[in-house]
Amino acid sequence: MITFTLSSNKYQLNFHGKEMLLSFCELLAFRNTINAIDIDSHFYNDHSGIEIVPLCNLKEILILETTDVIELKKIIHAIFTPKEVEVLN
Amino acid sequence: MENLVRENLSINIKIIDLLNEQIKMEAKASSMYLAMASWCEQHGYDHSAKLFYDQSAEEREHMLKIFKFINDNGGMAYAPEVPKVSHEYESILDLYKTALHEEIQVSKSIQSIFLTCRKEKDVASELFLQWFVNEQLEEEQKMRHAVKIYELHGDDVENLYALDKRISRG
Repeated sequence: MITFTLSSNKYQLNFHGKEMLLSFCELLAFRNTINAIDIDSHFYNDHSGIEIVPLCNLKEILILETTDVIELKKIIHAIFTPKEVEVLN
Repeated sequence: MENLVRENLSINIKIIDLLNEQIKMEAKASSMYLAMASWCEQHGYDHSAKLFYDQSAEEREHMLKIFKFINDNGGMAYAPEVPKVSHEYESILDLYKTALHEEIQVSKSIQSIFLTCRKEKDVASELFLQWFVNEQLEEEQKMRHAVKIYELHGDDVENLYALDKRISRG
């Protein structure tokens, strides 16, 4: 299970039981890395279905399976999608 | 969670992504103009070479302007990978036509981001891009002027170098 929660102005990522604290800047970098993963390529025969992703300025490394990547893409998209009322605030 | 994103970012995340793409485009244009400057120097078009050296520096300035804007507003700008650019052109006219085509692509891209800003109600980015919209009109005009001159008077080989001087006068 993967979750993101807020913890004293940091983002706490719980990745299958492993917990990591990300600053906003680290979250932006993580978002960029996850968004850059071509999920379609995971379904080609020669792809291992594994992604190795550094985060928190190389302090941590995540090993992601295809389903993790899909879930993370969804979660990160939701974090950065402003609600209608917040657009102009 | 969304509020914390807003607290850290002054501009829309979708616009940041598009501006990072624009950085790549400006970097490519800068590199392409450098290649064009080289071609012009090798073929004796010294005034056009100067124009393209200046253009290359200008595109890099545009890139840095966007780069700073992203970072200054809480986002993260990414240093671009520069794709391979051509160093071969059939003629000076072909070269200027390619440059004009590139400027039109950049204009389209800027305008598209501008309209996305409007859609996303990102007023700050829209105002920032207004300068680029005007700047692109000037850039396009510069290249269009050169294309017109070479199309009208460029059949005579002797004439080509005289036209090169004329282009530098704008």
